[in-house]
Amino acid sequence: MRFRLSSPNLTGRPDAELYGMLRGGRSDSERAFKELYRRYASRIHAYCYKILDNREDAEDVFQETFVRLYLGAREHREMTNLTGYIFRIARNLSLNRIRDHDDLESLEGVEIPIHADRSLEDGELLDLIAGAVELLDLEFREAFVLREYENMSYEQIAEVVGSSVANAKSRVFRARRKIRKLLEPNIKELD
Amino acid sequence: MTYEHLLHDFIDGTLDYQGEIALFSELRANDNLRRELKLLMLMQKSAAHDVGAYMPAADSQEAIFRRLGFSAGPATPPATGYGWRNMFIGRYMDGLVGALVGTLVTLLVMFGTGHPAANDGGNEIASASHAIIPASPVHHDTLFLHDVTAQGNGNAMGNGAAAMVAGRNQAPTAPGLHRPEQRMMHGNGMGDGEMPRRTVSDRTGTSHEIGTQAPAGAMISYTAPRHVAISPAAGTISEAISTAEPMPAISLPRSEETADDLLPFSTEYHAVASRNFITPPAGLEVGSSGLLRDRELAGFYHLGNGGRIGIATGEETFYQRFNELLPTGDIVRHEQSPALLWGGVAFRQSIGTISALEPFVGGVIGATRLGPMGRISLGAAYGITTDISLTAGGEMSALAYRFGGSWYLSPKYGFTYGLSLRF
Repeated sequence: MRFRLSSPNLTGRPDAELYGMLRGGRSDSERAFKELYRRYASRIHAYCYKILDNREDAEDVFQETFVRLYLGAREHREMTNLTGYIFRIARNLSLNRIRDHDDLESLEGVEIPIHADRSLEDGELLDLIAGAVELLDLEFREAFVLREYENMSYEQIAEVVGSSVANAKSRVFRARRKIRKLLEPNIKELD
Repeated sequence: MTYEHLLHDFIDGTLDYQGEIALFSELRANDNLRRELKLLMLMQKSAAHDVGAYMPAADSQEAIFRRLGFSAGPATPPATGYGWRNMFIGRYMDGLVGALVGTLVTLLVMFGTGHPAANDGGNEIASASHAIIPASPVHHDTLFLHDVTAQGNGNAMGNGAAAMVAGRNQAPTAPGLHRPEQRMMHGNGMGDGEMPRRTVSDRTGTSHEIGTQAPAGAMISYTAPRHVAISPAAGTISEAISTAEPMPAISLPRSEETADDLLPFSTEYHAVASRNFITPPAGLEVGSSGLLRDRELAGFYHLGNGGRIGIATGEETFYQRFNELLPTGDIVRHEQSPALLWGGVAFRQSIGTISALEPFVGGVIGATRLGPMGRISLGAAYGITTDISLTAGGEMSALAYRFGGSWYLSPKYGFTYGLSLRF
């Protein structure tokens, strides 16, 4: 009699161990990859969408990021910070995609709608903020997304974007200030 | 450093105590600064609100897996939102297989060692020469019954006369446990003359003289016009004459190992498939996984009358959602799903029996590192044997915890099933 046992639960395993399993046998590597996918898919997906602001490109980069993660592991790379590593893959792919599309629609001149005549609902305000994020320059938008969407520390952000910690902190600070400026006409709603 | 910088540090959680004092002091007097604080908090809220809209589509996942030659579907079911089917077939398959394997191993051990519960009803008559062997309370004594050997001078007992000698056998490995069976033993009568010295022999070949003490446990007789009997009252092997028509031998009731014959201890292993009353948001990280994750191990002492009490331990995930009041007057909502190891007192009360099913109500009162927890369950145990049963039932559990001076409750409901072993 044969029983098909369910896979051992990998949810408690650290990233580095799962990454190491990617170099193992097919069954182990598949399970480890799927667990890593479960952990990072929504984060990478959000990052790609926020950075590229183009659905098709974001999907391509998102998929390519995970494929490269797996293939990179098969080449016996050592790993100490998987979060930084996978975001760097996504970032590099995103920047390449942006460079390939110089004809991307410019957001210059796009402004946040003003609702001075009425009170905004909470959801509307949140949508306005999300819209303002998309108007930020790439370097600020990226830092803001990593900080607020991905809950990264400034050290992690610095590692992903390849800057100093102070520079990462400055980018986030300026991103927030820029968003506030964009939303200024609506800020009185916060009183 | 400006107040704006202090504000950002506060939002980042890096502001020191002195900075907080300075900032809060300024916040009380500065409308613009308060407005900016609210905006920064809204930015964080917006990100949390927005990130849910960026869940990757199933198509994307399949495309990636396909490119890498993997099967579709995640290796680990998500912590929330899974269906009942996955709950039992996937996530808890190991629990079911464990229960099944445990049952099989136990049964094999029982058969291998001649455990009476396994043999009970399994054998019929070892050979035709063996007469009635009542299945006694088997783990106590085994009674053997044999053909009579008539000896002595003159007409002792006729051909084929038989007696039953019951012997006590302490060894459970002795072969031949039999169902009670009626068997007529006929004697040919006794002739005139000197009373012969009569003996009967038991299965081991030991002879027992009429009139002597019967082996302990001998308690049955058979009838015939002339016969050898074992008197249950006197405990001696005797000879009696009956004018009555031959009667069937007395068949003792088929014995069974009853719960009363067992030690008053049992152990149970349960898998728990439960869901929170409030569905956690997708993507919420689940706490660490342990050996007992979604499992429960319990040991019981049986009080009698279907009641039992014991200790239990396990690990479960409880979804927590609670609010924190910031010094600014804003409220921040926290959400987490830690896997908590718990331990406590367990109790159960059977509420009658329906065939082999024994409905019960039970519960656990225990503690976790975050606060007390409790569980009530309603289910039934199905007895495979006297000492092995499968249990299943519905359950409700809750974790109570305290944060910021307020008590919160994390209720769950679900299904539990497992294996119970009685000693």
